[in-house]
Parts: sequence; structure tokens; C-alpha cells
Amino acid sequence: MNPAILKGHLDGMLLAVLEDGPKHGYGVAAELRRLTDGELDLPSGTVYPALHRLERTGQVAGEWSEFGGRRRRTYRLTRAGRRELARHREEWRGFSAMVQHVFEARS
Amino acid sequence: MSGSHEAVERYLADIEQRLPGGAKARADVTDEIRGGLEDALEAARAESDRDVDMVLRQFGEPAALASALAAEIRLRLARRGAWHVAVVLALMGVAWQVYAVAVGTPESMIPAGWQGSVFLLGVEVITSAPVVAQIGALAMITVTSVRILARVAGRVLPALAMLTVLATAAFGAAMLAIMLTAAAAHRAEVIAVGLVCAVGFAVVASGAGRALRNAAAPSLVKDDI
Repeated sequence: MNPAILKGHLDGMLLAVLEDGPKHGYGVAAELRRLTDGELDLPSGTVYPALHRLERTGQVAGEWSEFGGRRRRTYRLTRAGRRELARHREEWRGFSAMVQHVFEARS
Repeated sequence: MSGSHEAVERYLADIEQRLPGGAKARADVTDEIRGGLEDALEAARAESDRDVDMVLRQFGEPAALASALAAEIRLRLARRGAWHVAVVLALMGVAWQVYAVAVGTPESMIPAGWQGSVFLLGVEVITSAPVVAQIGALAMITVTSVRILARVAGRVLPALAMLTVLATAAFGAAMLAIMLTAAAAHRAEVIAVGLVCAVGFAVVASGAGRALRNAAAPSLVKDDI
């Protein structure tokens, strides 16, 4: 998959993966891989700086918890993150419909 | 799978030594990554050294990961510095207004001759420089916090941090000029007030310095996904 296509959509996809409930960073990476049947083969570590950026801009909230004597960091969507996810979805629907329209008209 | 695997600890140490900030900020990041690696090793049922190496490769190059993580840490440190500048300058502004009303600043403070010109110039600067520094700090907070600006933050931050530092330096210089040139009859009083202000100034200057140090780091402009 061309990584350039992904640019600009990773944030939305991360938010979408968190929609069902809080997850650890690795849980987010694993879920992305599962949902894309392994097509999206990002290095798992990539999600951490991306989650930190989403946290810095208030779209997700991170929280530490104790888990088996180890500290774990969990992320959940904030209200702003939910709004942002809705915007990503709408934008993508419009965009993909438009591209498909053009492609199909010529096929 | 235990997280104390030697290759895992080497990987984490490799990341940690490339991160900026205090020990706590770095430990937070490596603890989080360690948790993720433990999950990854468990999911892959990694037992042998080869399995572990494969999981680590899948996780990403430590240098690339550390550089993206470092950029995020620096943006937060710069933002924290900007907050210190904005909040302390606001408090100093309020305190000054209270002082001016309660005690007042008589005309007789203005010295004669060239010292009078320096004093009045200092007064001009001391009232305008903090406003410029405030604007710089608030702009830094905005570009590092607002979603649509999140990706450009690294590009505009150095200029804003520089503006804030220069305005802060001008503020400090003006304070000093006023303290040194105030009319002899009022000098003790001016210096006493100046020393109290110096405490606030020290916090502002350290915040502005921290913002600039982190904003100007070459690793800040990341074109990552």
C-alpha cells in the first residue's frame, strides 16, 4: 500500500479504532492491522507518537493504570475526538464517492 | 513473555537515550512502549531470540520511533514553557496594577538629564515588551494545542519562541534600566519593587528559554504520518 495515500487518514483511523472503548497503544495498532486484514502494515510503534499528538490536541485522553504490577497507558476518545471522528468520516465518504464517480465514469 | 528480555531492554534503552526532557517524561514514554512490546511479544507467542527480534523489527526502527516521540515531547515542553510565560506575566501585570493604584508611581521618580531619557525609555519598554511576550506565548500555546495547527506547530514554533525570548530579554533589560536610573530619592523603593519583580521575571525567562530550546530542536519538524 502506498504510504502517501495513508497520510491524513491515520488520525481518523486511530480515532475510529478507539470509538468502541479505551485501548492501549498496542491494542490500537493490533486492531488497525486486524481491520485491514494486515494490509496496513505500519510499524506498531508508529501509533505512539500519533496518539501523543492526538492527546496533545485534545482528541484522546491518556490515563495510566496499574496492571499486574506494571504501569499501562490507556487512551479513550474525548468529546472533541468524537466530533473529529465524525468529521473524518463525512469527509472520507464525500471524497471516496467523488473519486469513485470519476473512476467509474471512465471505466 | 517477560519484558525483561535483553533485546527488549536494549531496544528501550536505545529509544530512551534519544529522548529529551526529564527522567520522568522519558520513563513515561519507555514504560508505555515496554507495555506495548510485552503485548506484541505475547500476541506473537515469541519465545526464541529470533521471534523477539522479529517482533522488535515489526515495532519499528528505534531511531525513527525515538525521533517522532522526541518531537512530541519537545512540543509539550515548549508549550509548558509558554504557559509559564503567559501565566506569570499575567500575574505580574495584575500585581503591577494593584501596586500602581495602592502606592502609586510619582513623577518625582523620573531622574534629570540623560538618565531621565533612559528611565522613560525603560518605562516604554516595560509596558510593551511583556505584551509582545504574552502574544508570543499565547500563539505558542495555540499552535501546539489546536488540532488543525498540530502538523504545522513544529514549523512556526521556533519563530514564536524567538519572539517571546527577545521580548522577555527586553523586559528584563528595561527593569534593570529603571532600577539603575530612578531618581535617588526613590531608588531604594524602586529597587525593592524590582527585586520582587525579578522573582517573577526569573520564572518567565526560564519558561521562555525552555520554549525556545525545545522549539528550536532540529528534530521538531517531522514529516511523519
